[in-house]
Amino acid sequence: MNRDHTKSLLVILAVSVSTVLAALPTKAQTGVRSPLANTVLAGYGSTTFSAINNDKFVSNFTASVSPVILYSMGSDFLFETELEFGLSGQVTTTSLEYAQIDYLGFERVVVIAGKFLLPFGVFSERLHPTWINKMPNAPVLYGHAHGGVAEGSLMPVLSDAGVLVRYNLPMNNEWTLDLSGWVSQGPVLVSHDDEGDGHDDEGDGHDDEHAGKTGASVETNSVAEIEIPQIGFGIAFDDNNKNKMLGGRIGFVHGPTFEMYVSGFHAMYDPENFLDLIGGNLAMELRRGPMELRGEAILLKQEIQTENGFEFMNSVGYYLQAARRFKAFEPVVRWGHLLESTIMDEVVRSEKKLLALGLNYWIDATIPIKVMYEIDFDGTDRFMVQWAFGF
Amino acid sequence: MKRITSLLIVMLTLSISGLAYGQDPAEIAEGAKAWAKNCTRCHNARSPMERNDRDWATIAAHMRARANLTKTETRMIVAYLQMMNGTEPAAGARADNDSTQSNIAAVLEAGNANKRTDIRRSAVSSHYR
Ligand code: HEC
Repeated sequence: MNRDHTKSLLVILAVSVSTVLAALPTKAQTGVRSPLANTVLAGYGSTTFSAINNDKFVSNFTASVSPVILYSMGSDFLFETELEFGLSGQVTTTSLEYAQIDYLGFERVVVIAGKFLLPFGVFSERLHPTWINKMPNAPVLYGHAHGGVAEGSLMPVLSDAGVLVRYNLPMNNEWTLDLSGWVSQGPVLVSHDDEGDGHDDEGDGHDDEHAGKTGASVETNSVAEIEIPQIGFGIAFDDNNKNKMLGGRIGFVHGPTFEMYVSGFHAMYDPENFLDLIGGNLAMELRRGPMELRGEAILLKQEIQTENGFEFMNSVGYYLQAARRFKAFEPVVRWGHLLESTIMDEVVRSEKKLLALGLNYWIDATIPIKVMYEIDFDGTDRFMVQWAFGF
Repeated sequence: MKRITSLLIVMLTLSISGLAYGQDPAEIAEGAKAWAKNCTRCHNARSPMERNDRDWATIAAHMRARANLTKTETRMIVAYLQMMNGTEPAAGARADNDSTQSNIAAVLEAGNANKRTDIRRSAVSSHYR
């Protein structure tokens, strides 16, 4: 090797060594706690225009923002929270969507404590953020989804305080079992006095939205002299009974093309621990390139005291949604159906059928403009435009 | 001989700075696969360019808790995202999910993570239009 080579070798070695040294301090910086440095700000916001023509034409603009704050404590703990600020009637509403500590130290198990989105189906937990949901409102099953919802849903987006454990069980290279189980405060009986103003001025579902109540009794509170108690989810922070909600979900995941989830929960909702509330959910998703099909069905059994004793009110609903991307455009069709709710063969809530036709324009992967027309076969059609932003 | 020596020297430099970068190429390749398998399940793929290395570690933990991923999968995805966020896209570039989807395949085909820049180039150009 000649002199030239030795020189260039030395130069290059020097460069290499300094690269290594330059890289080291970032790895070696420990022992300084800086909450801001370990914090990530994320979240989403949206503006929604909604119009209905119910004898008179009613339209309104609304906006909401949901900041997400993540704070990592070492590699094993994560604190995550989402606040939600919205406009409803004459007030600004705030809510704590979730606030949880995740323990991530195990290979296949995640332990979560705090207030979290319940893994009952997938819409509540995964799809309701406005930059993710392909429609400007929630499917007919759910009563809370930023910017509007059809009245008379089965339940709000479910979030509750308690403990959640997840287990990832691989079947083979392709399939994974995604298991979750939780214990939480559970639902409560809502007395008729603490119901907000009880009506929905703009027809956008906001009154139910912020109180977190199921719409199980919105249409009729008393049919054939049967009182149907209203249930509040995720609002029982001084629980009304010692009974907790127990729930779980089994998911069969073949990412990213196929997923199927079966979930269920049980709770008592009255102060005396008599009245059962049972929920079941089947959810499915199919993805092929730019195509996405999904659906979710819920069975809700609410026990009610009648003159003849205890009876179950059964409510069933489902929705199906298909979407396809054509470059930045995405047409979406969603069919939602709540079947008649009955108790002792008596119809206590009439059925509801909604067909929503939408077209989305994706300015960016997290910035859709969604235009939707929703046909209500037994009520008033709705037109919505929503601009959402995930950050 | 001179050529060969220079080549050797360049390779030495690259491998040493590669070590300094602290990423295992095999792990990055696995991370690309795990990313393609999981990160488009619930929402459009988020561009790796969106966040710096530290943010990705935190966000991946967030997604792990949400999607029930394993610790190893999550670590590999983080390695992949941290590698992918290193190249600036052209000015005014925007994430394009369609091409992201179709080019995830290209990224995976590139497969061999030793060709770091190749993967990076093909992936980044596929993320942005
Ligand atoms: C199980 C569904 C699911 C999967 C799988 C998933 N995400 Fe998410 N992701 C979400 C949801 C839901 C949000 C919105 C969180 C919120 O606003 O509360 C989100 C938000 C995000 C955000 C915004 C920042 C944040 O933390 O809220 C980024 C970035 C992101 N995801 C990246 C990823 C990456 C990378 C992967 C692959 C590891 C991934 N996601 C997989 C459901 C998912």
